Amino acid sequence: MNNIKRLFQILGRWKWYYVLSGVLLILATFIRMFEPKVLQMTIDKVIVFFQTGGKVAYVPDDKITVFLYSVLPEFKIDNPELILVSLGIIFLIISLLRGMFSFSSSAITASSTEKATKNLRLRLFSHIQALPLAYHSRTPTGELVQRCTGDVETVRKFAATQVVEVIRMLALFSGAFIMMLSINVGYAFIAIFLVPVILIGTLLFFKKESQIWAEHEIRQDKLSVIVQENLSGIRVVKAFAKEKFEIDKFTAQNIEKRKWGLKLNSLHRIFWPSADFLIHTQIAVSIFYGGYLALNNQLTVGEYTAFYAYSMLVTWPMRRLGQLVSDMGMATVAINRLFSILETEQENYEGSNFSDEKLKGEIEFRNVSFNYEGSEKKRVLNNISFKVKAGEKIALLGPTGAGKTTIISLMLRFFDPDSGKILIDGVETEKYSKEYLRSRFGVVLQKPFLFSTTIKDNIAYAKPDSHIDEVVEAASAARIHDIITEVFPESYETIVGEKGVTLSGGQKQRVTIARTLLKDPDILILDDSTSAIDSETEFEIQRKLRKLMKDKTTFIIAHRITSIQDCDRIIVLDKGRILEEGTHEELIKNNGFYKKILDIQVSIEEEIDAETVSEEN
Amino acid sequence: MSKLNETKFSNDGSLYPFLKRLFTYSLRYRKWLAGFVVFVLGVAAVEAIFPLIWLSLLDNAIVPAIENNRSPSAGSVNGNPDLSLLTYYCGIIFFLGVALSGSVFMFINFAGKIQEYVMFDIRQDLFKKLQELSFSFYDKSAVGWLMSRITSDTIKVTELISWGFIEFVWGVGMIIFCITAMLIYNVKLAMIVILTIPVLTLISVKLRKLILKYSRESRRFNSEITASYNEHIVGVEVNKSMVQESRATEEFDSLSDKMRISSYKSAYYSALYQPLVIFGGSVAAALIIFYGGSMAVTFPAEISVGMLAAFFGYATLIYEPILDISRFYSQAQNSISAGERIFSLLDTQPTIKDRENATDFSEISGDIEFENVSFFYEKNKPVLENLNLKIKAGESIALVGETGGGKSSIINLICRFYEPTGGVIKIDGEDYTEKTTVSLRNKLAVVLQTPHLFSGTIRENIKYGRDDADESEIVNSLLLIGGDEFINRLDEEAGEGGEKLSLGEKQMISFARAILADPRIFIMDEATSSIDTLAEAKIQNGIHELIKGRTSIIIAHRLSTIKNCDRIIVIKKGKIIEDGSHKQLMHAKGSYYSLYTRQLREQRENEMLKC
Repeated sequence: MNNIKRLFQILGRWKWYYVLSGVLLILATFIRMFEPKVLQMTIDKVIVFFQTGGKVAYVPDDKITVFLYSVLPEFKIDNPELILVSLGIIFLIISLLRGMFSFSSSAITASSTEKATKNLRLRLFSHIQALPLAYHSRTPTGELVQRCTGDVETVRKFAATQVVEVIRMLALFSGAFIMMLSINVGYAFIAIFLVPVILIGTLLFFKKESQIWAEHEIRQDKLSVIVQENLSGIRVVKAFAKEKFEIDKFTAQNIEKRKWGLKLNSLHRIFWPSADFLIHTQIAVSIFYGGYLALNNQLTVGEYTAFYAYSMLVTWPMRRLGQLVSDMGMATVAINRLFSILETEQENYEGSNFSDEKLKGEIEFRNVSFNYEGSEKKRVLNNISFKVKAGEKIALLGPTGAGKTTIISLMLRFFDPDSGKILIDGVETEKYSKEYLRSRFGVVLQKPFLFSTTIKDNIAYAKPDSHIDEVVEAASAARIHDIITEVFPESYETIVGEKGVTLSGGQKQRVTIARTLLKDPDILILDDSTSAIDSETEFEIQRKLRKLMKDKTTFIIAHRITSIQDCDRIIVLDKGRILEEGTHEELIKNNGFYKKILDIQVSIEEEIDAETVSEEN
Repeated sequence: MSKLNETKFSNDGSLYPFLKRLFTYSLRYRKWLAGFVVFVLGVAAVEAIFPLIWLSLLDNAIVPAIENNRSPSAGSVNGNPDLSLLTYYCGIIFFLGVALSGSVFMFINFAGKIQEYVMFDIRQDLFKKLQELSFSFYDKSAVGWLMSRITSDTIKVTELISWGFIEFVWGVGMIIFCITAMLIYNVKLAMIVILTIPVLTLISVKLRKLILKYSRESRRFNSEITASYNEHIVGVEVNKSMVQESRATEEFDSLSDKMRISSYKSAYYSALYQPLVIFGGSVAAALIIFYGGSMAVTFPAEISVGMLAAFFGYATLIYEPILDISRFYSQAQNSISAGERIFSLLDTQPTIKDRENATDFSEISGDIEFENVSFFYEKNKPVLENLNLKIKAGESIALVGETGGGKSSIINLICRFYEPTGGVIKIDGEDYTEKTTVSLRNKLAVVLQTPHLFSGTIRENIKYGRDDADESEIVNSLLLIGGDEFINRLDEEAGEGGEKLSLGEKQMISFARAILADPRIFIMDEATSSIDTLAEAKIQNGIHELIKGRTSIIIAHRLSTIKNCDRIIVIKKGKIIEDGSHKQLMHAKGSYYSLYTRQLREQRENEMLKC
């Protein structure tokens, strides 16, 4: 039931179109019922009338034949052609109407399905964009993409083919059944007496089938894993000359997969013929009973032929039932998986918008503690407090896992602290809307990520309508302008990524720095974003930044001491705590962690001197 | 290294060669294929005969009896009617039902077998081909892309020649049987129905082409949509920090709308197609009512009532086989690109193959010599030029220098993952291209930068080095490299790609694997990423044991590894610029000296900051 509700939710405001489409289809089906009637008329009425020279005038006994009779020209013994042509035209009109109705029905279904699917895709996309980073860090990208593409396609197919199909099957079945009832009640029930057996059989079959299918999929997955491992380790395979071993391993699993494929097939080769057998037995019994009634004058030949056509129509949905049940199973799984994404709570974007107001850049951490969801072992940040004045250049230094990146994430409200307060310009971060806050910050992330579009669009990512001069200015500041114009084939219009030019790590970092600078942020954060840039270029970038970010608060996370020693203040972190803070000089005096790192340089020189000397001796 | 282009859609011209090649696979199972065709035709025959039986039943069992009742001679004697003829015909119908079910059983059986066996065969061929192909192929092919050939592409083409082919055979059979039956009974009426076939075919071809065009377009958009999802999920942090979530969504919206439109168009023409074809059949049916009716009303009747009913039935049914054949056609069109991907892979020739008269290396001592070796991956970008290098058996060599200088190329050449584009590489004085690849690789062991393990136990992974190794040899190899801790963990699962183990553990196991192979030549590309100090010490110890007594070539990043080697070779832009022992090179104060100093500083800083 829940699944049906969810399905309706996906179909959204288009769900009524499915009803409309269903109604049209029922109409088409209803009109189709007239087609055998035309033949019945021809046989019962026309042929008997003219063959007997007009002596036997058949009295129409149901409403349809009365109706058809009324639209036919008057029966005269010399006008069989006219009557027959009229019957032919009536038949064509019926068929045309039926065609038009079924076409409009399909077109409406298609249009609604595509709209609903588009809507679903969009909903997923924007929902995923709004999901908190915590969700993204625990969900593999491949899985999300698979759901948004594969599962959406499964649902789309189900909506496109089966939703209206259910209506059609019900309509066909009940339409044909009602027509039969109107001719002969007893006969009508005889014509469907095997239906319950077929229904139960189908359900049992699909229960069994889904079990074997699951087993089959496990084999198939194992085969994929073998290929996956083999291909990603192909260098190892070749280095150890293990090709034959690998082929044997693959063959064994391939045989296993084939075995289960054949098992599945042997289930199918039992089910489908059995269903066919039952359906044909049903038809044979119907024909026999109808013939019996006809011979006893309880049924006319025309009625009998019409009945034959109806009993074909009644059994037809039975043949489709199998497909329907199996598609339904697949769609249910897909829908549930999609809803597990859609029902995950989004980030809360509420909060006061300070519109275009700039931030001064005063930041204060007051007893902030934080832990990532699920990791209970140790605190990532433990009671951290510090104050940053507007315009200060702050360096964060410390081993991996010290909590540097977490401090950044908290300022941007990717996460909220477990306890303590973070104040920006004296206001708690929770009071700002995330949108506003993030738009005032400029962060160069640790992993440089570029989109597969042009260099220009990448740099102008935050301000798509930027003038090219602004882009060039930002690129020059990040020391990437020369490379763009001299090395890249189409300068700023060069497409990067899979479909275009692959950039080196250092080039990527510089493009991301340009991207951030173009945003003209109030507070700049460089999260280890110069690691792949050589020290000379890094120095030049820093000099440029100092000019651009004059009076603006800047945070720098770096692993090289040389790149941070000019900062106004250096905060040394370890295991979520602040070890020491101060200027370069102060920290040297302090003789702590910072000093130790600095001392390495000296010790290395001594060590090397010793080595070269020992050689000389 | 650009990836091969996947979105290559073919034109109609390639349909025939594609089907021809695909069917060579099912022709391997001639008996099944023959059985398949026979029983599908059987089903079609039963379905074609069905209206005829119905016709005879009406004409022979029902109409005369009723007319008898109606005629005055029978009077009002309305006793029990004779059911024997009715029973006889219903018996035939029941028998046909049995025959039909039997045929369905048989063709499902054969179709399923053909599908599974051909799938098996294609996958075997693909996998074997993949094992043959050289590194140069793997450099430009993404794993995921290759995977999809073995998985989804194979499924697609085998469905075509099994279940898809049923529709084709059934359709053709049905048309032939119906035409034959109709011609036997009445040529004039038969012509009316037959004439509709070319018209319906024309409609089918025209509309199918339109449908195909738009469905291809929509698939192209679909792959863009997939890429877009992927990109914006991977880059979600950028979107968030730049506050661009809604713009990204807007861009996605327009892409998704493009897909909606082409997808709708394809569905629209599909929606148009079926009613149109059915209507074509109805025109024939209307003509049958007129002509057939005229024939039936004359006295004596030219045709019987039953025959009129039967022809009416044929006229309203003839569209079905045409629909089925056109479905096969479009399924085949849609499978072409999958087929092309499969066959182009099967046709790819490995760049490194044993020469015809290649002989095996027997025991070797491990001398390696590069004589004027040149090498490039791409023609206009030489990597190595006229390189000369002699490595004595048992010597250990550290290769150092900048990335892209040619270090990896040297080890790739020694392993014969690539062959030199100029010059000769000699192992124990013999040109290795005159020897078999397998015998060379059996003499060497390679440890790569990122250790790759396979699913299975730790024991199985170590045994990968040598299948016939017994338990004590495995334990010994672990003891030798200082991996005592694994001795009790041999039955532990490594997980897919070794994911259940830490990087350091994987490294140790790959050492044990290498040492178990007892190679004469040991090659290693040292990992750059740092691991914790304890593991580091163990790994150093492992390396030390491995290089003992073997010719070893190591791309070294760690200073301790470098210092452990007998000789250090500094490579820059494809040339050897320094060559000598650590002490010699330090003393020379050249580029090794500055490299060593810089690296030492970075290493110490990293030790402080990363541990």
